[in-house]
Amino acid sequence: MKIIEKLKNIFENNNKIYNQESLNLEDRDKLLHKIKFKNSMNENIEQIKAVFGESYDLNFRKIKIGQEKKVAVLFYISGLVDSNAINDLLKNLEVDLLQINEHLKKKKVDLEYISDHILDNQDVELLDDFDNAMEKATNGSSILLFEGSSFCMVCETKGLKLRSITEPNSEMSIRGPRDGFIESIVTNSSLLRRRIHSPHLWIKDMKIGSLSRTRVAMAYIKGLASEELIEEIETRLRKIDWDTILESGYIQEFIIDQPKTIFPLVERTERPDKVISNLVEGKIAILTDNTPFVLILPTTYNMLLQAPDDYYEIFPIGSFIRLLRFIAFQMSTILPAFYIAVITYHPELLPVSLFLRIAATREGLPFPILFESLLMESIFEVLREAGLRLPRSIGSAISIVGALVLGEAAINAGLVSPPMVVIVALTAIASFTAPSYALASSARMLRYFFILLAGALGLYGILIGFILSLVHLCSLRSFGQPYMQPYAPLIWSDLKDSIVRHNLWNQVKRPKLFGGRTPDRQPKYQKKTSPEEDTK
Amino acid sequence: MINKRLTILALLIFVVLILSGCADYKEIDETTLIKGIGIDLTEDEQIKYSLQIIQPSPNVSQGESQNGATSSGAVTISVVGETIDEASRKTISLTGRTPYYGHSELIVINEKVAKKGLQKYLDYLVRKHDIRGTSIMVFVKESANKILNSKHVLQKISAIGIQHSVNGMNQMGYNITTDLFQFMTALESKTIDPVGGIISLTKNLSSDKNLPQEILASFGGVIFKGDKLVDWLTPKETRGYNWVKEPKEVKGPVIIQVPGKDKTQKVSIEVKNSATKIRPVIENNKIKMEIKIKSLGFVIENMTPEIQIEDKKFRKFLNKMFRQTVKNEIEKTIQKSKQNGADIFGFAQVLNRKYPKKYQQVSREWDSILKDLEVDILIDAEIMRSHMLK
Repeated sequence: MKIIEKLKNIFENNNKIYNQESLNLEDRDKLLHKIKFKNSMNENIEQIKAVFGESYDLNFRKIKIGQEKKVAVLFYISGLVDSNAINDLLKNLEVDLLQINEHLKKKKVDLEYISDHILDNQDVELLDDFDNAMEKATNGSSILLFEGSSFCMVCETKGLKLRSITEPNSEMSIRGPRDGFIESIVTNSSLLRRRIHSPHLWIKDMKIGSLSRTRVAMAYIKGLASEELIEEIETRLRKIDWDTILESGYIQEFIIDQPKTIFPLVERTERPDKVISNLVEGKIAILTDNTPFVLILPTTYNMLLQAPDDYYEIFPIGSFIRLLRFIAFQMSTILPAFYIAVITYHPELLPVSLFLRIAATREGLPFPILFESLLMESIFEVLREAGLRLPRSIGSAISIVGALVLGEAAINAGLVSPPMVVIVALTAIASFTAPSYALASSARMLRYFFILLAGALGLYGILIGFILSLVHLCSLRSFGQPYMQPYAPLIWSDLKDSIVRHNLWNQVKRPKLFGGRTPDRQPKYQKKTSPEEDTK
Repeated sequence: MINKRLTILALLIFVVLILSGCADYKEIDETTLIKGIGIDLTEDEQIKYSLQIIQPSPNVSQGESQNGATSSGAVTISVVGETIDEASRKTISLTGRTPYYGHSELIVINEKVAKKGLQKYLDYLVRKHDIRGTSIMVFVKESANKILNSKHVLQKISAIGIQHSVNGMNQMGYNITTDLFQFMTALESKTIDPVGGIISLTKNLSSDKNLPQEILASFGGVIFKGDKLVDWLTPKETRGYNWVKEPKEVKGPVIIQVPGKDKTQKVSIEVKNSATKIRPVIENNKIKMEIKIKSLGFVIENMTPEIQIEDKKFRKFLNKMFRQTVKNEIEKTIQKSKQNGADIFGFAQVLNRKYPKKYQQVSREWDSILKDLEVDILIDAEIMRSHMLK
């Protein structure tokens, strides 16, 4: 404590001391909070230079206002600001010279007058908090300092270069909007606003991260989302004390209920339409600055296997595709294990000709089937990871090497059996049907668990594994909501949108546990009646 | 605390995985895949046990043929043992691999074995859990080993070929398909005697040099009294049995001889939708059986060019002969059953179901009752169509 006090004294005497190398981050942070704007402009400039240190991207533009040639300094960080906005600002300051002159005769420099009358078309704010002003500057605002004033004027001149709104790569759809979130939280919330033209969509923001001070916002439909849930999420968010939030994944990890699970307890998406469709069911979205991934919570297992296309296509097709996806996903976890179990424990289950085929291919193979399947699965995972990380130009080469050379050569050399390659390939393809990458990843891990169980206990082992994972799934909670709803607990009305999707006009109710506050989505059944009935 | 629990859980899982010993774990390339079993007796009454083993050749996977697994070859080995189990284990000395019976589909039994009483020889096959109850049983006059070693026209693996032949011939009604399970059920039952299919070597009539002199063919059946083989059935007699017991399977043809100078004038009738009912009737304390058969016939071949099927008289004659022929076939089989005292039709079973008390009274002297049992055969058969589009 004493040291800090001492340092503070030194600092007040000489700003340069701030740059002493002996100060660690914590001390610097504490000092930063204590700095105040001085009346002298030059001193203020010195202070800014002191806290930013040797950074090269600082800009101080001296301007003179009015006849008195009042000196002011515009401070901004290059690259973060829009040069047009800066020019507008400067122009505005010089336009009504007369006005200023008259005004300045009465008073000295009145910042309020300038912000209200001269820069009235600009987003301007008066601040005397040095720390806050510096944060604004790092956000792209320009700071106007005046001689003889301990206030600064923060002008919104943000002009960050952003990529344009494109279709999200990780979540494609055949039918549906092609816009996706980008790295700017403001743009992202505008994408949400675009879809709900109602003030009931509330987007509440906060800053998280002691260093990064990342803007994080909760979006929800006021009156629909449960107040307790909103409160709970807000408390959990406010509790986060981490230095930098680079991605929404950081937040996810801090706020989930059960860290010891491989299943994703929070859904993330790049699609605004997906977010909105969840918001209107009473869920809550968390937007994070600098990432296109928005979190949706609470999450259910059911949600993770639903894709936007299911709703955009007519319901029989939507249901069929969804059913297919459910089956394929189950297959991706269990298929290799099932193959091993049948071959090693229950060969009598196979049709004779199929069994003979497989038996013929297994003749003289060097590895036991369990090891072979673990090997092949691991090779596939390695290939997949490599394909993901490699530059795109080399990626295709890897896929050729992986698919042709490894697969073909391994079979020709008699290292692995062709049916195993078929099984691994089938599993891989099936695993890509899951719309949620996180869920597919958990299936990848489960697969090994099932393979080991099948190798040790056969179909009995698979059954044990199935029961264990089912028990685990049923015990999971996402923000207090059962993960496996509407299956466990069984909610009959919600089953209309589960493995199959019923007609929209038939889904009168919102999901019971989310949208319980305003349960009805629509007036009673809106089934299209026949013309004869209409006339009656 | 949590860590301790987790450790215990991890240990438990580890133990389950490691110590379960993989009880039934078998690598399929460490077992011999058995397709057919043959049982013979040696001269000193030891068991000669033959196994048809599939030789899975890795070359198959190189796309040598598209016929599926049938392209793999098979080899038949034979060992002598005091019990079947001993013989079965002795095969390891030849193959170096444990026999795996899960896919065996055929059990070939020599006449001599069957005549000695089958129960003791079948015990192992029933007791061993991985032998299929649906394995087809066939009985042979030749040695079972020879049959398994004989060449089938289409299948490289003769066990599969025999099984197909037996199953296929069913539609003529000239063969009986009995699987191990059915056979054992009949064997254990007091009210019905088992029957079995046969396979034999017949002379090759074709001049194709790729075929051996003798090839496998499946015609006829055998009847048992208790667990002992007592008589052989001719193909026609076998069909007589099938008319009663498996009427749905019989497709024909029923051949009718048209009277006249020309002995080659014949009509073939295809049969469909047959149904049979056996009913016991007790009249004046005497037991009588009534077999009712309903059937539909279709003229599928007419070798009498001068007579049209449309001719009413001819049709009437055909109808009459159709019923008569079927009746004759059944009567002959019943005759044989009575002669041998083998209740293959399960008359006792029918009686026991309908009049259990009566059966209890007569069960002791059932053999003598069977000998003089009166059987009424009522046939309601008609020729429906002539298979001709005008």
